[in-house]
Amino acid sequence: MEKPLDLVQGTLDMLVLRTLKRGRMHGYAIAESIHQRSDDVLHIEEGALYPALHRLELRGLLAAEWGLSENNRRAKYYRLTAAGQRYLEAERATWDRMVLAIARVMETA
Amino acid sequence: MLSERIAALWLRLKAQVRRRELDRDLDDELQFHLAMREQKLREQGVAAEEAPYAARRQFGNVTRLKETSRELWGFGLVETLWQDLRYGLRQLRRNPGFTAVAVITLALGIGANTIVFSVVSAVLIRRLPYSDPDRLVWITEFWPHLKNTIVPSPDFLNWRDQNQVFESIAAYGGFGELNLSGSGEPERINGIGVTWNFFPMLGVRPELGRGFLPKEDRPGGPPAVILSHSLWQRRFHSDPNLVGKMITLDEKGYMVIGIMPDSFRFPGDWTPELFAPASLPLKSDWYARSLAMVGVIARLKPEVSQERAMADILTINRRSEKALSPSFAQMRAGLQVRVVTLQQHLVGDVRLQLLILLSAVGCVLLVACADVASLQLARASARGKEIAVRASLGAGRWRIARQLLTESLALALLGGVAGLILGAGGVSLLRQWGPHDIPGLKTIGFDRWVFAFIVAITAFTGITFGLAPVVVAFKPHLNETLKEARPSAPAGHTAQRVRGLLMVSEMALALVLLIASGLLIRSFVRLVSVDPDFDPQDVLTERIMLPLGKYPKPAQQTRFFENVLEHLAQLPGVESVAAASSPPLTGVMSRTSVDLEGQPRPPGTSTSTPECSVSPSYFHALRIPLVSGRYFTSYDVESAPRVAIVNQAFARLFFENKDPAGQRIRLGGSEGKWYSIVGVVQNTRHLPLETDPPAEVFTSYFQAPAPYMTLIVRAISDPASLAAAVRGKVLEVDRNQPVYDVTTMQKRLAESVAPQRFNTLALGIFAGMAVMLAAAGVYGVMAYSVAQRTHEIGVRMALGAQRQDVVELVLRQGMLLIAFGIGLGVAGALALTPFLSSLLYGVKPTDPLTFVAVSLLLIAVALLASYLPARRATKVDPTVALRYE
Repeated sequence: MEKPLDLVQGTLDMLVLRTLKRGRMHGYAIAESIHQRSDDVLHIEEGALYPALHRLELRGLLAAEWGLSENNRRAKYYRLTAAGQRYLEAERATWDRMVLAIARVMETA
Repeated sequence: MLSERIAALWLRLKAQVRRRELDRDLDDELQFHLAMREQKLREQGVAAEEAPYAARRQFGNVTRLKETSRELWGFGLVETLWQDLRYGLRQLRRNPGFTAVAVITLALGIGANTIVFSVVSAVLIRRLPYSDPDRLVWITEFWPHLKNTIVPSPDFLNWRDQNQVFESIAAYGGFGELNLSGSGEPERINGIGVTWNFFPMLGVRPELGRGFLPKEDRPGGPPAVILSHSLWQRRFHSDPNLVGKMITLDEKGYMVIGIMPDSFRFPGDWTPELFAPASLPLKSDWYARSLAMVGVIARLKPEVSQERAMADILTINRRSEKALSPSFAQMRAGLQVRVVTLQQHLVGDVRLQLLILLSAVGCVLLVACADVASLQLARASARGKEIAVRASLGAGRWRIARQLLTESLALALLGGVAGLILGAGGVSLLRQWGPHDIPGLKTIGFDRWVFAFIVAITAFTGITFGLAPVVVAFKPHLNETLKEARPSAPAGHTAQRVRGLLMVSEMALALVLLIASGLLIRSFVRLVSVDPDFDPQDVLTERIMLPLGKYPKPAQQTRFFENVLEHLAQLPGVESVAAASSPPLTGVMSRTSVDLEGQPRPPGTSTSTPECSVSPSYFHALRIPLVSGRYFTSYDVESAPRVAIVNQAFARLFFENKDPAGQRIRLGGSEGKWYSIVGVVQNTRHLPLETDPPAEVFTSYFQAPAPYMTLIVRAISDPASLAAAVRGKVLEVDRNQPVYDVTTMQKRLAESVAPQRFNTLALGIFAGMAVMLAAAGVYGVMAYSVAQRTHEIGVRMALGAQRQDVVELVLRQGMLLIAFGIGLGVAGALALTPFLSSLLYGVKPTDPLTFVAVSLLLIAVALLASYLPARRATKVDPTVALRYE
């Protein structure tokens, strides 16, 4: 496995929120989803993921509830709240602007 | 969205409350993740037994993860504090010896402080039970050399009618003691006259019935009275129909119009049981037939200061004096006015006393804290290793400090609870046995101020002695401490130095208290051995006040007393009897003005001189020796030439060195009678004992009758046993005449020094506690030092040192500290004891004898405390000591 890239906390939050836009998931599924969608480039450490999830929950950007998983285990499912939705859009806009700016700097000779 | 914000906040709150549930949830969540990963690994081909470990390894530090999340939930500070507290308590339980000693020490300090503070709270802090009490003031007039605290009614009436600064002004006075008869044994009760607005001004009203109306408060007004709650309960059995009924006072009928509530406290230092209208004249008139003297209380208008009120009163006085004769106005020229808050008037005298006691007991607490700090330091040095381990596990300095501090707080908490229990016991003891002259003492208890105080000083002590181990912990030399088996030298040095400092301060504090106590003891002994100049042993006194309605003629009054004395002389066990209007130690002193025949009054003397009307047997009964001339005899009757006896002070004051025999004096002002002096007697002291005997003039009660007299009965032995018999004889003469204020002279003497006795006792107890605690501290420091040096001592003894040498070695170290402590203590005492001077009698606050004696005492105690561990050091087997690493 290649050495995973380090992610800044804000970026991780954004990724988690984006992942949950697709529907409610438990923590393991979120990690797997990010791993797959990034073609195995981004690997989220549990040590970073769960604190992030709890932090987002406390801030009211996520809501959580307990349910049964596919294999009948007790699991905690997270979903995006309206506030989370708005926050995601704002972060997305900021991110896009930043990427554009970096690209411009790198392009000019 | 607001609702989502609220939901988030709700989660946080829930987190605090349902901690265990959330802990479980967190656990479940992580377990689920682990299980999923494990499953995936197995799908990828990892062996079944290997999968769980692989999953866990990939997972990372579970504990760390949990901790981070939990910290997010906000458990952090509270949880660690709680953890520290529980750990601290566990540690304390594991060291019962240390804990017991520390808790007892703290309990003594905190308990003593609680007791004193509850008194301070009840007397000084708690507000008077009237509405808006800060606006109430007490007004007096006084001459610079005489102490006069009540005001002639013409002045009061002027102030009432002309002032611009008072919302209301009221007065009380007159009435006095009356014989309540009917429905039971005749009883003497204390009544007071009050102006109709007295109760409304204070903001109190009768519980039953009503207060006085303005039209009832005038001379010749209807005889109406209001009863106190205790009189109503005691004498009339709380009869709910008493209002509207008549009671008999001094053979006259009065109607009860109201009953005061139980919570009412009269603003004076005695408790009247009955209130009547003051019935002052309607207008101010200096030349009226009778002049009442009243106490004046007023309520200031808002925004008016005491100074302005005083100025206003002085202006009114000046204005009114214009209408007086020039000589009278001249006499009043030096009269001053004082306006103080009612609170200060009621408790002013004891403020200093209480503050001194509070400071003393504060010192005791400081010594106790120093002791416990010393103990903590000893423990902390031993725990050096444990602290080093914590530090190596990642605990920051603050974390360690916080933990140590929390442990100290746990200890302080235990001490505080124990101190609370001690304090409660002390307070109830004090309530029963406390001295009478401290106002409000009966009301001391645990109010919110006292509780707040206990919490505050518990926290204070915890932090104070908790700082000691923290100071040491901040210098951990980790590696060395971990390697060595015993505490490292650098930390030990700091600790020892701090402990030495603590010992020095303890000794200084104890010395200051001891010196103060010694001064008070000496002063008290001096006071008590003051010779009252008569023989107070075996003398019983009882007071009688004849109602003027029943005995209007002076001759009748004298005949009554004559009869009573005849009856009393027949009692077995009686050596002699007498009657006098103002004998010594009764607190009564009637005065009269004295003029000399053909001689102008010596300059600087006031007109009024104490006067005492006596039966002929008076001097014999009290054993007052005759200096020259003769005593009164039964021939000095009304029709005989008027004679007087004076005491030495009088003779010296008015006649200097000439023999006053045969001289004539006029008593009672320009309308008084002339008396010939026939004898001079020795001075006797009156209250207060410290003052010099005043000039006194005596008249025979045949020639100058008085309706109020004190019966004096000298018993062969045990005067108190005659009390009932004396009362019986009085009743034989007059069925409805009670006696009151029945005590022996001895008891009066003892009571007159009661406040000093209380102070001396209290301060002595505190000083004793401080010395005990300081001695324990010295012992502790020296014992520990010896333990530290066991190795060294072993070496010395192995090299040939004798026991003596070892003892000397140890003592020398202690001596230096003791010397410092004594020096500091003496300096402190020199600076602080001048504050005591108002409490001292006949002793200077820098009395060298006391200082030296007390210092020697403390040195002896400290040396003893040092000697014990030194001696134990010599018992050590050198071979053991050498091996001790």
